[in-house]
Amino acid sequence: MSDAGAAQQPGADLRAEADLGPVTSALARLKRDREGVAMFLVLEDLATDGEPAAETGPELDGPALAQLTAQYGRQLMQTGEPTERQVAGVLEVLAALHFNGASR
Amino acid sequence: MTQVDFDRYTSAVQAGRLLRVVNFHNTAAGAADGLRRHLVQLRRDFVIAGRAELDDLFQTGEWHGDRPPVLAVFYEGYANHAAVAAPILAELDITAWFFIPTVFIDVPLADQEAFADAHSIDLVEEERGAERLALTWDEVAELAQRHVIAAHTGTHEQITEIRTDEDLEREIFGPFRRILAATGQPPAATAFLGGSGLGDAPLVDAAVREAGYPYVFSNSRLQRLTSVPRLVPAPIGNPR
Repeated sequence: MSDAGAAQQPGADLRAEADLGPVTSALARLKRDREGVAMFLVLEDLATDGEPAAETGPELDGPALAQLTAQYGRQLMQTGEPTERQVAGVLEVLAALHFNGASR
Repeated sequence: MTQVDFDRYTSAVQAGRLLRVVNFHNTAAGAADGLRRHLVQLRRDFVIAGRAELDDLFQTGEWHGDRPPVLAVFYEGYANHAAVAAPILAELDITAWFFIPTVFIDVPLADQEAFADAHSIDLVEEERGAERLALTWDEVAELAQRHVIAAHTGTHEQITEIRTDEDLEREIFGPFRRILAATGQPPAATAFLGGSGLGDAPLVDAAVREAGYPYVFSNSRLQRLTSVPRLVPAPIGNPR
């Protein structure tokens, strides 16, 4: 598992890491060990004409996770709409922070 | 690469429509101890989910485990998945997902290293020169007894490089039939080199649906394609 993050609780961990800086820097720090890479995958149900599943409210890591997502999103979008690979980088950072907080 | 609407992702994160996945590639013998420690940690905090649990999550919209789910995913069809990873998974009673570039399995032993180098299948130094680098179909069938088998195209190809009927046969239809023949079960999913999902390549999208893959794993999304009644996966809470 990645060694990013140092706080004791997932929420606090994410808030503490909110100043990580550009996504690329965070990823570079996380990718020292490329095996066992933690990811978040967004769930999509395309069984009905590609419509996304309805939203049901935040639970996973609460507001800190969404806040950090938005922060990274703003960084990415400074150069235009991001690619899926760039978005995956954001999710990878979030997952690494989450897993490290969650595993303590 | 096609650009995406980041707001969709932000909404999904806010809604908790996320699934944890841990991606593994090479599991050479030298990495065995680290792999075991990693999996022990995962098992402690999460339910390591197989196909039935994923289907149930989508189907019911609820997670029924006593800990949150995570998928353990092994890519590339390396021989060391059977020799190193599988015994550890069995020891820990873990069900994992194996994504296999099916043509790699059929490559003659003497050509496997060159094939890997030519198709972005990364090798570790300790395995260069090994007699065999890819799983055999017998090993795939054995893995299928307790694990989930999925396709990773035929030749480990990017979605943008699949354009002709011949490409579709080699990378989408052929791998589906090959896995079905070897394991007696259709592949549970497919994934493309580079991690693209469906939505940007209509020809490929149609072929994946026609072939009958239930799921597509991308770098950032897990897309369900089956036409069973759709229910919304509920947000997944933190591990205890």
